[in-house]
Amino acid sequence: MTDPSVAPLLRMLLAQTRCEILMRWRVPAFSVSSLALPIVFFVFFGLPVAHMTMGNGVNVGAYLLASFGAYAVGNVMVYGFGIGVANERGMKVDRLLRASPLPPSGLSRTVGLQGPLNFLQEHTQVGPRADVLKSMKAYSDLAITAVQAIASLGTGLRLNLPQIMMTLHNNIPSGTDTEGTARAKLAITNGLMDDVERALAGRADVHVSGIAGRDPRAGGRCDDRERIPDELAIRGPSADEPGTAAG
Amino acid sequence: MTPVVELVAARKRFGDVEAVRGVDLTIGAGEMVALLGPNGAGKTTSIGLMLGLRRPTDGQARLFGLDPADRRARSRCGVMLQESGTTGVLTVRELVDLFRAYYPSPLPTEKAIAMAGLEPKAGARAGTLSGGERQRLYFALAVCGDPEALFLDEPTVGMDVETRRAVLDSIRALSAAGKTIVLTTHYLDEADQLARRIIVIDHGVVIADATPREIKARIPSKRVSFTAGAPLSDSIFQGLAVQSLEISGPRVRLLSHEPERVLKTLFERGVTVEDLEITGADLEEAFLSLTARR
Repeated sequence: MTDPSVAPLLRMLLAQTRCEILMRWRVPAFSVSSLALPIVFFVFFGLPVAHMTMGNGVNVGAYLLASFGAYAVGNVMVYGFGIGVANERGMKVDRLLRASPLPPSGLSRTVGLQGPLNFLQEHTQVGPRADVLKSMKAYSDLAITAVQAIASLGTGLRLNLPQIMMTLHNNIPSGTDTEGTARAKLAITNGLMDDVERALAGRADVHVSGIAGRDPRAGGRCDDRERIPDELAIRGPSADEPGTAAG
Repeated sequence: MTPVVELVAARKRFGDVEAVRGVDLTIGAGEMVALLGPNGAGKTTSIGLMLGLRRPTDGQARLFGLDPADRRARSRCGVMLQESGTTGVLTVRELVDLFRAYYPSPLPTEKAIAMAGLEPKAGARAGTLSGGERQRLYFALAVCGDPEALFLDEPTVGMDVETRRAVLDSIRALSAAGKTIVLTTHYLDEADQLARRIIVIDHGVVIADATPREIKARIPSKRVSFTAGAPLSDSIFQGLAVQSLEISGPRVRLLSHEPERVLKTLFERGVTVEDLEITGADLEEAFLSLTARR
């Protein structure tokens, strides 16, 4: 890092991140669908019920905020890095970048995003929104890992499946069930991850909420009221407690 | 002193095609070298090997004595590639700023933009630039890091005459300031104007490595065509500096770098010449004859 014969990594990453953000911002197909829509949705569907609490004590507003946050992150992945990288390859942007001193890894394109998120999480460990933030952090963690993998693909490197597996695996036992759920949900958002999800569903303690009521720990039986103590476990319709939001 | 570029018996194979077939090259610091050759000769592949964009199938490539993919080596190089692109939604200034961040001690943004003559377009998005302006943007991106070595792959393609002259002047100024410059081109005049050393590549091998003057002496630069009064045979051209001689009935076509002497000798040998035409040979033809001679 301190080698004077190369540019400081941090400076590169900040500049790269700034440009990546500007690039996304200036494409309305991305900025509207990923930034404006989740906010609009939250205003329409979240705010009117934001004061309510679910049966298990979770604030509905926080719950929906996390959900639309996940929606936005999913969009970042699909537009920003899926379509974005494909576009860049089509325009041969990668050729010039590969010849530049920018380290030849997708890492540099995305790791810049991780810092602020970590900071956010470390400074919000307590308080009424801690769960929401924790779950959003979980989404972003996996999003970044996925994004790194996709960006690596974009720069001609191999898709780093083991790294994705590690991220999933490392975090799930250590974190709460919320995080596990968040990760798994995001895994489904990203079709790329389907196989990972399938591979994990059989053995790891992941709650795959996109598939109604399936809890791999319970062998697929719908039994998550006891098994998922965490409030943010997102369940399919068949597992929903009737009238939770009304309580 | 470590040479800037070293290719040692470098080969590159793409499937059945061997694009580079054993190239040995050493380019020292401060040299201004033109890689010259017809399309598909292996120039771009050679540049790719020098920069570590491609790994040699066999042999070695070194940049500043390091692996070409090493960041320390790449931080000393500015690159302008054929067929590369940039994101259209960023402005010229933003892109130059981004590329400056990749280098340890870059030039000021405005200076890099000025070197490429892009001041009026500094605030324009890259997507709105014309072909020639885009080439200038790539030039700005190559020089903005104040690198010791510049690799310019066909730098003047698509530029109008005035822009081309301006960019060539910039390249000359950089060379005068001690930068190492490697450029590929298929314009002989461009190589001649700029380089002190020309490396001619064809079919993936170096067929000449010399000063522009020496190269020009070896390249048959004029095409001569005429109709002879009587059908001629090959033997009448014996001992003359002619290449790719074609005789079809009375019509004769040939390449030579000394057409005056050829014609004089032909006259002396009693050949009647009608409908004489002497034109500058295009480089493609000249290279073909150079390769054929080997």
